[in-house]
Amino acid sequence: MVAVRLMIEPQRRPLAFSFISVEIALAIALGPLIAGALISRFSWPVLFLVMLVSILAAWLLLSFMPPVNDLSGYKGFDYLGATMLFFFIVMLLLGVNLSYYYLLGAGGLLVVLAWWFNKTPAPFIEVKLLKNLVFVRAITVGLIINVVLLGGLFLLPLLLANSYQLSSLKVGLIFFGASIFSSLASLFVGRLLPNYGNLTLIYVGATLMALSLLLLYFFTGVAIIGLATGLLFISYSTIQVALNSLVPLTLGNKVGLDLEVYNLANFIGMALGPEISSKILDATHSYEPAFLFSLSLVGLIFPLLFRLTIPKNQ
Amino acid sequence: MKTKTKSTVLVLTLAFLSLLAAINAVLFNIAFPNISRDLHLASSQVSWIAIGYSMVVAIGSIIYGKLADAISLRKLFLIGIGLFILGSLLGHYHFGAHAASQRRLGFYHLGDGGCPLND
Repeated sequence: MVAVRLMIEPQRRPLAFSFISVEIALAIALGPLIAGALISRFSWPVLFLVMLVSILAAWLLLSFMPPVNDLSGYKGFDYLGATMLFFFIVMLLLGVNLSYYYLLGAGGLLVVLAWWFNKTPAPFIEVKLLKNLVFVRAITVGLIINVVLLGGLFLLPLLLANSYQLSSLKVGLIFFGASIFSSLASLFVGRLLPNYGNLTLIYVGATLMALSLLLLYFFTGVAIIGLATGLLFISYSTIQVALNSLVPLTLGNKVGLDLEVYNLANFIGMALGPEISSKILDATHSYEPAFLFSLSLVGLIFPLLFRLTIPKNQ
Repeated sequence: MKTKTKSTVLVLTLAFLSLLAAINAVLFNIAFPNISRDLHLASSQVSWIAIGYSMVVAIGSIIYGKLADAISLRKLFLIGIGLFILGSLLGHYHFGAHAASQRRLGFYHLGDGGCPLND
């Protein structure tokens, strides 16, 4: 998003954003398929080599990207704020996985961070942004769906391999099939947005996500898991597309770097998902409680968006 | 080359980097059962592969985003890709020899923060 905003002319940005959305949906299909195919022939360390293809991107960037972009908006870098934020995120994650004492540390650091971001002239994160409750509610939905999806992406391969003895290739194929529907859903939802609105589509997505988790909680069998995986991916894409269009609206006329906070919430959700799921799995030695936890999180989406009013000054 | 063509190739390159970053986010999930078995890890330990990735990308994305106002974006991308390649080679070298600890996976993800500049 940062690169597109800085390097691509305004009239071509929608094309760039749509490219990125479709590619992300495609990646969820391709990643497990590539991994499954490689692991079926080689050992898993070969997966590290897949990313060597990024050398091609480096060559393309050297050939087609201007060496310098406009750097006039630089206001200074808040090193202390960035360092404290780094330790806050690490302590938050360690707190859930290792010891709850880290959570206390994270809480303490949050207070110091809030004080620092209020005090410093060019803070790493604008605190006043977090006073915009409509924005906070919207990005919390983003955090929740990423916790649920990445928790599912962590649990499902383990469930299929350990309980149903499926090979990595078969698991990859199930994910690939499910993701194809998800990619189609991304395109379809984009067309439905103008007619039905963001909130309606998020409610539909959340209902589908809840249905997927109910299937995983109550039923067994590879076919049901495949169906639930498809529903999970479709619901994620639906909510993500609607949310990507909703979040800038909640910022009114202040859209800009603040979208990075939305990205940050998404990535924290991606980290928390596998962490919480693995913790529940280790504690209960059963997959169902982790799906039930995810279901309870999805249930929170409905009150979070209840009577959400978007600022009118955009 | 015409500006419009250059811009299209640039968009495609950014999309390609997005694709790589997103593929990488889910690439190892399929291997969790194998990694868990080979390295004798509990599920909470193997989950750190996914957690480490997202944690570094979360912090990296916002740091790279801020640095994009101060340093040329092309230079940032190339630094990210350089770390990405270095981590890939180190990861394969260590784990391929089955002589590594889980911590080394974290280094592999250091460069990933650069790719979400376009996420």
